Amino acid sequence: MTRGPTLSVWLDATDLARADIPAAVRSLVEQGIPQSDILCLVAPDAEGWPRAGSSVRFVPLTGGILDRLVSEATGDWILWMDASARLAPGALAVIERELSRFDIDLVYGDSDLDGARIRRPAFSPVRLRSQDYLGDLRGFRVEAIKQAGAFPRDAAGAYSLHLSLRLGLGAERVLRIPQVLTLSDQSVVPATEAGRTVVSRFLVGQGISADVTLEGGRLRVRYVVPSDPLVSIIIPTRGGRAIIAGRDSVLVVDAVRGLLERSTYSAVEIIVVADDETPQSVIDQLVAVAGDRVRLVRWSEEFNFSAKINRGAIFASGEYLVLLNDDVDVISADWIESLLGLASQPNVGLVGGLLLFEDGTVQHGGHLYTAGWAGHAAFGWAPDRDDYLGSMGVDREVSGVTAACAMIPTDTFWEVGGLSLDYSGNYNDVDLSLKVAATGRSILWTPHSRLHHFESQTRVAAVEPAELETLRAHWGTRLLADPFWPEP
Amino acid sequence: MTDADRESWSGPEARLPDEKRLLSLEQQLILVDRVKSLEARLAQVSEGRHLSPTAQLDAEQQLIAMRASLPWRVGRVITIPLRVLQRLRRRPNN
Repeated sequence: MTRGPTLSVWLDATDLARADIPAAVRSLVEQGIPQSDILCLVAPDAEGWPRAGSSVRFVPLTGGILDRLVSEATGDWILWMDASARLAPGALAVIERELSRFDIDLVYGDSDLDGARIRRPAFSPVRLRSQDYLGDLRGFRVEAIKQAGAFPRDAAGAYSLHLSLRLGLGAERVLRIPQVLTLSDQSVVPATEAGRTVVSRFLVGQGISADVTLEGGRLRVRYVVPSDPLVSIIIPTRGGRAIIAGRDSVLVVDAVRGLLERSTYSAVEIIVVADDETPQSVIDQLVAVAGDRVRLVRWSEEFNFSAKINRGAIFASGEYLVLLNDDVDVISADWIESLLGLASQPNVGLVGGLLLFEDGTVQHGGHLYTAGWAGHAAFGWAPDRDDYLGSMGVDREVSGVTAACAMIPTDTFWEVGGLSLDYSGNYNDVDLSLKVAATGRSILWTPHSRLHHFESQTRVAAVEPAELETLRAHWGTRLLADPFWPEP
Repeated sequence: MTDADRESWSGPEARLPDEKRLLSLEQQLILVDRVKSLEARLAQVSEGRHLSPTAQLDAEQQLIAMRASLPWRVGRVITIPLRVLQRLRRRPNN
């Protein structure tokens, strides 16, 4: 008979104002963890912490102590729990069962906040740089901690984030348990200066140049793109018009004018793939607005959005492609830099941004694939609405992004065969996303690249049943439940 | 003359040196996409062998939730006669 993993618990009580050590200890002991296996970490200057009248060991967090504690650890795993949380009933048995099944280094799970279940997404290493979303209980394999090297001395309050970043380098060795593991008093740990330092140092260690700032309880990571690579923006159009903000707009002309006048990134070429029937006046206006920064490509064949994008890509000379609809308008001037910073990270295949309807409600917060359908996360949300985790404010991994605005490294576009002609009108971006994901690359979404998308909120998309059928035949199992936007 | 009267626009059009080159590159994208589609279909039938621990656990949880759902349980009740018949047919004659 094989023995199960042995666990010891480190209670993080460095935030003594929030900690409820007796309750946390009780929840652990009730599930069979001996008090002698519980170690309570407290701030070195803290005084009069509750002793819980027990054999729990209290350790002031002084420089080097964590390294010593890890070297002395005899168990297989350390469960690192915030002392403001309580272990949920039955959680220990679940954790022990799953740890004995999988060969992993890091584990986390859902929590309960005042009766509401906080579902956490599958492991998202880029998101972790902006937000410590893993919750108030996570398990670290002791051997993996030892291999991760010494603890930094100046990360009080962010040691578990430090470990999560380091052990999360092998994303396949991270397990999210989709069950409630803790009863919590907060859904997500707000970012701190210590966290900012930890993330900055982690990025430097990975050879990633970035500026990390603390903004409203989250970290904003601005990735430095070493050179200014050429970005080719591909816009398919028929030269349509619409009433935008009460004004008659020639969509593609206004889109091109807006991105030239309001984008701060200058190394761009614009490729407009125009149907034969595009009005001459539109072409003339485009040339007047963009001059030789726009390249006109003719489309004389039957409508096929995918084929038009592919043709534009053939004429592109940029290192990165931006697939862009003609009914968009730039909101954030650094929208290209925000996409590019992420797209230039190792192993990133596709990046999208926040698209808003004309009235400011959300059109696209990343793709959401669930119950055999593909849609948009946060669709129709008010601009100030968010979920429990604050997902709308952080860079994060997603299952896919819309081709209304998406950046893809040109090499990746060619490697996956561009947009599939099987999807002339719908789901071509879903298919592209899933093809990119199948190569093992990440797909990211950022709230820092913001555009208006003047798609009608009430329009019922004319979905060809054959397109949906094809999508399900190719990717059916990927459309059942979204790992990055878990829903009840 | 209105725009609608025109057959097609004219302007500073981007061109490749050779029309065949355009067709060849478009064909290249189509062929690669075909391969990717076939790989995707193949992955559908071999799903499960390559799941990450998190994906495997998620799938198990979905299965548990489905089996606990009312439609599933109602379906099981409705198909009882059929399943009994199937079992009887499978039973050896002797």
